[in-house]
Amino acid sequence: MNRRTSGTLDEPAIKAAGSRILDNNSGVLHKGWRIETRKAPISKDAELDAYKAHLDGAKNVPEQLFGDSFLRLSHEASGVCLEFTALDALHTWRKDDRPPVRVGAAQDWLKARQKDVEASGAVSFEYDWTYTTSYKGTLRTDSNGDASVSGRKAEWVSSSEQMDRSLLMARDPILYFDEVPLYESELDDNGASQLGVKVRVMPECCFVLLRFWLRVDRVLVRLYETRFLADFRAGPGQPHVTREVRCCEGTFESLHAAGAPPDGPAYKDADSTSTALQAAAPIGVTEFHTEKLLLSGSAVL
Amino acid sequence: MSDLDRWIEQLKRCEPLAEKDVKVLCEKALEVLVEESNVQRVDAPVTICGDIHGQFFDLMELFKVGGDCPQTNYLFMGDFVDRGFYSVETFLLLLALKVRYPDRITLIRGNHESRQITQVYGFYDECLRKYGSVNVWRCCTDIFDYLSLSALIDNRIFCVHGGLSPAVSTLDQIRMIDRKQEVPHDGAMCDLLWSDPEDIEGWGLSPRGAGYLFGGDVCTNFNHTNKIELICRAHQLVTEGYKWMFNEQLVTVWSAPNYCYRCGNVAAILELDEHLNKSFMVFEAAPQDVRGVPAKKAAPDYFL
Repeated sequence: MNRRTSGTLDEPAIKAAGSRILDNNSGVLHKGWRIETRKAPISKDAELDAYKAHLDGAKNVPEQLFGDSFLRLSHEASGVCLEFTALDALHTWRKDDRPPVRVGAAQDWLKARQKDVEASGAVSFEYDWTYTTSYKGTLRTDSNGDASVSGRKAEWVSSSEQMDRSLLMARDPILYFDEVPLYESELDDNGASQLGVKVRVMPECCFVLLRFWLRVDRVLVRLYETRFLADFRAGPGQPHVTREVRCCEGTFESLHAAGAPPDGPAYKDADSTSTALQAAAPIGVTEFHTEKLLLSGSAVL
Repeated sequence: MSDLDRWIEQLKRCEPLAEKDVKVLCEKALEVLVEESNVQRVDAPVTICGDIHGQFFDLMELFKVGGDCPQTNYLFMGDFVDRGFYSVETFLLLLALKVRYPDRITLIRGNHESRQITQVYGFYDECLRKYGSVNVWRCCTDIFDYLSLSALIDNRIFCVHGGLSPAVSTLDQIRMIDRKQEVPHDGAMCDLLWSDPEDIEGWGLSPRGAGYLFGGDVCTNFNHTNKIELICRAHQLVTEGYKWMFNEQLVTVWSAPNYCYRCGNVAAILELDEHLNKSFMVFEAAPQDVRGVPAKKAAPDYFL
């Protein structure tokens, strides 16, 4: 079954920019960057078992795991590669190993079932079933067999420089746009946990939004957003990328007390949650910082 | 042509019934469902289906693959509504078929056939959008309370939406439940609709803090005590459409292909012939052109 779907390309605008569409319409080659997405069906049971083994024997993984899907941005001159995959995000989930959240009905449920639970000797399985991940993308340097760039190291360093929002406000044509779901769990009908990434490539920049969103019904909401801006105005030689991390979370009770809307439709998906938490002053922010990509270890190109 | 046949024709075109017709249909359905046992007896041959979740056009694919009702005898294991775009048409069609051919289709209750869950996962909003009021949602959720909790095929195959409960070791204990109520937060009725099998020994508690997991030995004991050979359940997405567990003592069947219109998974139904020989029929989602759902092609968006 071939259900791979591609993103949206603006062919005339890509031609006008002197850029090229990748094979299978999987992305664009633009300003020295190769920007590519793949969207495949959810992984099958056998693949899920392999992933679990790969994740140090994780008991479970999200039932909707888009294991073959990715977004990849490769800077051709430097070999810097920024990639977004479900498996890497789940490695981070395992490392984060957050304390388990309890669903809204947990206390009442356990109280009512105490006898049954004791009589049946039921064992409790503890792991972070919300699949909360602090994943902020995977950074690599690919040598591509070119010795001149091997041994280079790319890393994120703290920066006081803010993201240049004017670049994002420009209504230039969008050469390439895509939205790639990486994983999703329905949490057994106790809410939703989603990780996905969106990309838009413009003549002067490329913008990426990686977003983890969690709602545990009647309990809490989490929205972890990481934004990446690649500025092409510096020329194709050097990758000029800033990364902005913003994490918000809180119980519905505490968010409402701080001025956000009460639990309900305002939190039905990631977009509306984002709006709800930013309607007034930013609410529930637990982390906010900017970094820039630093390339070291060899001569400037 | 009777009203009922006309409604079935109308619903097969994915046109919702008028509110007044929904009321009449629900009154008739109640008369049929109230007579059913919590462990409804079903005779083979029968075709067993898992979650549908309002994916109406994929239900039409299912009927293409499995045959039309009443020519084929069907058993649906719940979760007719929520998540998909056509919960109203899906549930009303199944209900109309139930009233028209009560001995050729069996509907048992899933955890989504509940007032609380449908208010969060789509059916409530869909009723409000399609009818401008919540009356149809009220009629339907009142009918949910009358749906049977499980089925027993030729005394040998037990069908339930979720799974087993530590409060239940015999089928007679299920027969004694007073099911005519909203799905409770605890107790045997809750477990039957919510629990999951897991590769463990004995019973497990869900890490979420509510709900049971049951292991292979629990399944073996239950089957032995009740002289059944197989538990057939739905409730969990399985990417090949069906999944065996516990040395083929339990099988999960999933009947919503391309789940939520983006998972790209296949679905399955389980056909049992008169000797209970099993064959799984795997099928894909309805093609885009008959589905009437806007393509999920990402629209360029100046997101920030």
